[in-house]
Amino acid sequence: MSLKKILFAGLFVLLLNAQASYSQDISYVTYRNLFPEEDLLILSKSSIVEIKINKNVVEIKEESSERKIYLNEEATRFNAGNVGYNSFETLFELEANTRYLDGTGNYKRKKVSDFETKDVVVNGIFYGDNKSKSFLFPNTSVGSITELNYGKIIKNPRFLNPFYFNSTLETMDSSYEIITDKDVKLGFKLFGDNADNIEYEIEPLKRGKTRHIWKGNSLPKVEIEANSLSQAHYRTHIIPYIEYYITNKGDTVRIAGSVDDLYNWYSVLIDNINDSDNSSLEQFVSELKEQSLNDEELIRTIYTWVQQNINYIAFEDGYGGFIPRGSSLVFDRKYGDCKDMAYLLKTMLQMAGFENVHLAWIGTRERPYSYYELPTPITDNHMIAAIDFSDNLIYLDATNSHTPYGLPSSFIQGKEALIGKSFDDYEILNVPVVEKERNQRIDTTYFTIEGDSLIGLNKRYLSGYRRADIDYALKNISPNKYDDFFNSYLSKGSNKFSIVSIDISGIMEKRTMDAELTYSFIIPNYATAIRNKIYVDPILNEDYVNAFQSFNERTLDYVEDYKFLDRDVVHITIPPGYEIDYLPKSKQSEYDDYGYSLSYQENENEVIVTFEVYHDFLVLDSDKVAAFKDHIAILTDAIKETIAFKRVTN
Amino acid sequence: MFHKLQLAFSFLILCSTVLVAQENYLSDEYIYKSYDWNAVEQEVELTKTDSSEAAVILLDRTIKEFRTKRFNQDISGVITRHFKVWINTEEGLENHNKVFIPIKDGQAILELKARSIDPNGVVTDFDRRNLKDISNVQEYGSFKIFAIEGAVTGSIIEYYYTVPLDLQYTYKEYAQGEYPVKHFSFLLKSTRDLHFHTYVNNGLNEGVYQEEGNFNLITFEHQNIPPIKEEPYSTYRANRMNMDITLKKLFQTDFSGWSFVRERYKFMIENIGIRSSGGLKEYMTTYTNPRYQTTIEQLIQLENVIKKDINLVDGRADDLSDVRIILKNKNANQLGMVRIFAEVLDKLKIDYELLATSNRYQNSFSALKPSLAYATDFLLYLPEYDAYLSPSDFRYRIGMAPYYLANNDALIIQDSKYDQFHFIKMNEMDNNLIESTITVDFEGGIDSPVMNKKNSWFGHRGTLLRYSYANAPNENKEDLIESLAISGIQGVDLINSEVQNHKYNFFDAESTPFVLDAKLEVSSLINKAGRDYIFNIGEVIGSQTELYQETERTNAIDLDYPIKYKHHITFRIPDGYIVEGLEEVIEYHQIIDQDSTVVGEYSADYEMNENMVSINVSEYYAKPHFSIEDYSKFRTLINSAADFNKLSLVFIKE
Repeated sequence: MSLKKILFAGLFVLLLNAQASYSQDISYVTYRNLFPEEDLLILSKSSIVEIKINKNVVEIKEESSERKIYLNEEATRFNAGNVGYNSFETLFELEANTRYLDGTGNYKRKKVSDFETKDVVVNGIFYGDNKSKSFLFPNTSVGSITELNYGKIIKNPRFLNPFYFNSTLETMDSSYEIITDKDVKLGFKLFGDNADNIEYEIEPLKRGKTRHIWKGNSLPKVEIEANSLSQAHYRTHIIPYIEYYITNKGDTVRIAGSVDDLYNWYSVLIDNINDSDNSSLEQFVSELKEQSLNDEELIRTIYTWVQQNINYIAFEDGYGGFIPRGSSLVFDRKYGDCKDMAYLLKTMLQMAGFENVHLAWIGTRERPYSYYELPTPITDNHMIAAIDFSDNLIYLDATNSHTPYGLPSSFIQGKEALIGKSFDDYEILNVPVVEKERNQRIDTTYFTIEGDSLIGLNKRYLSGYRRADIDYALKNISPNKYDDFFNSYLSKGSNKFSIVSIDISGIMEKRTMDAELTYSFIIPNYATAIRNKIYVDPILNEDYVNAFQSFNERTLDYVEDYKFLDRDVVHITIPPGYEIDYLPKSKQSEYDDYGYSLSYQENENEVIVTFEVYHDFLVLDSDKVAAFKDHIAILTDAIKETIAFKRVTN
Repeated sequence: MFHKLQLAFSFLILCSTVLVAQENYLSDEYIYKSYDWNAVEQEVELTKTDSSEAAVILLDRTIKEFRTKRFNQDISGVITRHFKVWINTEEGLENHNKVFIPIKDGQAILELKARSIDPNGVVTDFDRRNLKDISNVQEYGSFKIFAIEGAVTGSIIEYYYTVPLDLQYTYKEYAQGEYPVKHFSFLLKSTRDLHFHTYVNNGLNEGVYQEEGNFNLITFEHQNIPPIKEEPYSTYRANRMNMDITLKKLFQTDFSGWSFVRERYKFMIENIGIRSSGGLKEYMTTYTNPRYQTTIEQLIQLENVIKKDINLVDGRADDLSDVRIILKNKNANQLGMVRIFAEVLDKLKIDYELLATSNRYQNSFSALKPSLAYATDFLLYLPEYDAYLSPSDFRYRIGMAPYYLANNDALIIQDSKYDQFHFIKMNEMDNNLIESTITVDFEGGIDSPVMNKKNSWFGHRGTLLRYSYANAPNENKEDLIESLAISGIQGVDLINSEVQNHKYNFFDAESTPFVLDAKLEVSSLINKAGRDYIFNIGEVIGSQTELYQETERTNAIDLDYPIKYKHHITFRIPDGYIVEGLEEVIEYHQIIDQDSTVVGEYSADYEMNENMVSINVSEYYAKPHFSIEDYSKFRTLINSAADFNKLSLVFIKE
């Protein structure tokens, strides 16, 4: 945790202690004085969950409430409210109201009367079962307090909801409570920056019931910064789960007591895949097999075919979010979601004669959970296929049409994969993190100076995820917009950069891991020719430095999609009749996580400038951000030097 | 360019476009009941140009049918849409393999067929069991949705459906979009007691009217429509080929002309006195004081209060347009906001005209085309003050009309036998001045310059910035100011800043600039070159828009508003150095109108007085619209400022 956060947390404790002595309707002016930077606050939020065994069935009821106070006029426009739910939940007793100041300093209450039921379209899911009750709080003027109360029946004991104690708004008071019957074994795990500050009490009740209470009273709000970890990493939250319960008959029903329990459930779901006639798929696989020279090429061919011919369209309603569709159906439809593609890959590879092909459940890098500490479905959100081949486990994620064969998709690097070996057998392995040397961009440029223009040739080499990035970009570019795209993508020096001719055939072949493209270009008005000198800035590509110019205010961890190594090698022809007047000194600075080197070398009639940067991390922890800022400042200074040529005097 | 990429692509493909026999049109049956999507095959030629598109629409056909029932005057309607597209890229596939059919909750699809034909000719029919419902999605309504099965790059996707359709006063139909259209077809069939009027826009072929048997028919056909090109400084959306269909007559009721539009919206300003039953009076008593404030001062005060206090929301619920309820709930829609301000003006006894118009970027108003489609936005014009009040654009205050409504005609909504129009004035470029006074100080060392930059934004830009600043959450205000101060200059740090005129507590929003006075550390503008230093002086004005790429322009030039930029840059040459390169500053270009008026200009010059250098850069565009013929000159002006941004000087050691 950063120093700033610690200081803030301390201040927060003092403020809340002060607040404890106030009445429930403490004046909004007081809050505004306490939190002058805030527009609105969460006064309180709570959930009470009751888990009962009724005959042989577990019944779960969750009742929640939230109160917010509006501190200034800017806040009053945040008057839209909604409660989300899905097909595994039933909403009940939804009630919302605004308590507003009536002009005499007293509060009056006005209820929300109009609730609209809406289907919620979630980004990336074509059809799901998320719904919301949406409404507008009336009269959200300065000082108003909105109140929201609702209940949910949780229909499936595997899907207890997480509870978040804090958010991006300051939260004065938050509490979470679970009451369990005696025959329910509850598990829970706390996550987030301030998990240690949550107070936990356990209280025995009558008839063997137990009340668990968690309180969060001194939690700072969560900051948002670009390229940081997902909010689940920072927000303090609890994820409860039922390890097992005992029915009235005395049977023990295991839910999420261990990874075994989770995998057993997954196995049953997978066993329910509706796989009909696969003859056309078998015929197709046998054709692919005939065309392939060897086993590795066959695996690659099948993977690439699924990547490029099965379109990502996700139907995630109900158990459709958990059970893959039959492979022949997906093959015929030519679309599916991640698990549909994973299962199709598995089927096709097995049809091709490969035995050790598995489905693998994975929580992407957005999820900060491990199967070992949280053996519930919330730990994962993705499925891929994996194959044991030549003593290697190859991860096959066809969801993105641009992930090169042999690499996992970048958003699952380093994450646990729950690999299903058979109905009863599984293994948890960590997806490898791809080394920076496999994700390279190398630009080799030759240019001459004509007047104040640079005339040049460039060869760009891309590998790994660097190569995948351009595939991804091109996916959304129609051929008639390639000119604009490449002028922008390859732009260097200034926005007067213009491509003269280009050969992109090297990147249009998607089956290769590495790619090359070559082009010639011109950059007018780039060099400065004054009197008998020519000045030229040899760092044509300052994208790296520019990307971190807004880093000064950063406090959170910095997240990269992948590790990388970029190198620009620039050959500058010394203008005829000129000689080198000034060549900067070479510099370098290399650390474990990142580094750069910049070298200048005279070689016969040219100057060779090599500029290399690398990032050897996926997450730069917040406590390393300050040193990284210094590194960027040093680098910014390093590239500020210009080469000068002067006319040769006889 | 890209020779190596282009495929051998000169071919004819056979594709089945449907030309339903004319006799079908005249049948008493609904067309959809006998619609055969395989009826007629027609060859469509795909050209070499088509091969570089993401997709090519082979057929875009819409049939709307309305019929009345004479006994109870009920009207029933259906829409049949037949769409066929050739997919060339992944992008084309992603944009066409998911189908959303707008439909009301509870209504059923009357017909639906869909299929894909892959490059090998394999046909995959859609299984209707996979049709899904989504209901009340955000502001979009409800849909039947499905995914096209079997489609890959190179496939043809085809579907047609028929769903119920309500009769409306007006429809807008677009024939032109992101992809080329080989065959656009539209048919409107109605019983003889239903009459429509149509207008075609932007070059779409005129409709053919027929009265046959029991029906009126209007047909539109257009072949080979190119894709619309998204160009900067253009109203390209409004420039798409489209048509307006307006209800003209139903039974004996006449809906034609502007008189109908006037009648429809007149209620907004009628019976004002009895609407709010005192709620507004309470506002006025609380926030204004007629003894010490002029009428216009009271109006300004009330506009500020109302636009702070009331939330503008989407929705058609009655609560959102009933002034009494709005004042209690503090939520209003556009209609509700018009009614509130009409009532305010009434109570203050200020004369006004209610103007109905449309956004010129979407659908430019035309007095010659009476239709509700051109009455989507409302303004209040105050003749006594020659000022506009925009009830539902919270960014604006009394004075200028919002830029997207200005330079446009509007219908005056009033009780009159005659159509009266009002030209919504666009303010002058001098009122939209953006002025920056910049001093670069090398006192701390030649490689540690500090820049003082005072920016004043007048007119529209100032108004929009004021709103952004006032409404940014507290914690984002600093980010906004930093971003404005830095204005795209790489590698600089903001030392301090002061904002002036950021509150709406003054009389004249238009001529009171939003001002930002900032001090920045700008050592990134200096590059060392041995004993010499390169001073990237052009960067001090911030990043500039450019039109460097040479492309064929297809749209005329439309600016948000006329605008003038003035930059005054001064610096003292560091001791012991001389400066070189100043002559590169000097530049002059202009655009001259047909009547010899200078309507656009870029000029840059410098002066040197001992060691003090001052540079003046001026750029202006005196009108918001330029013809396509002026594009080359316009581009020169835009690029001149962008070129200045790249200008470098050299400090040479004496």
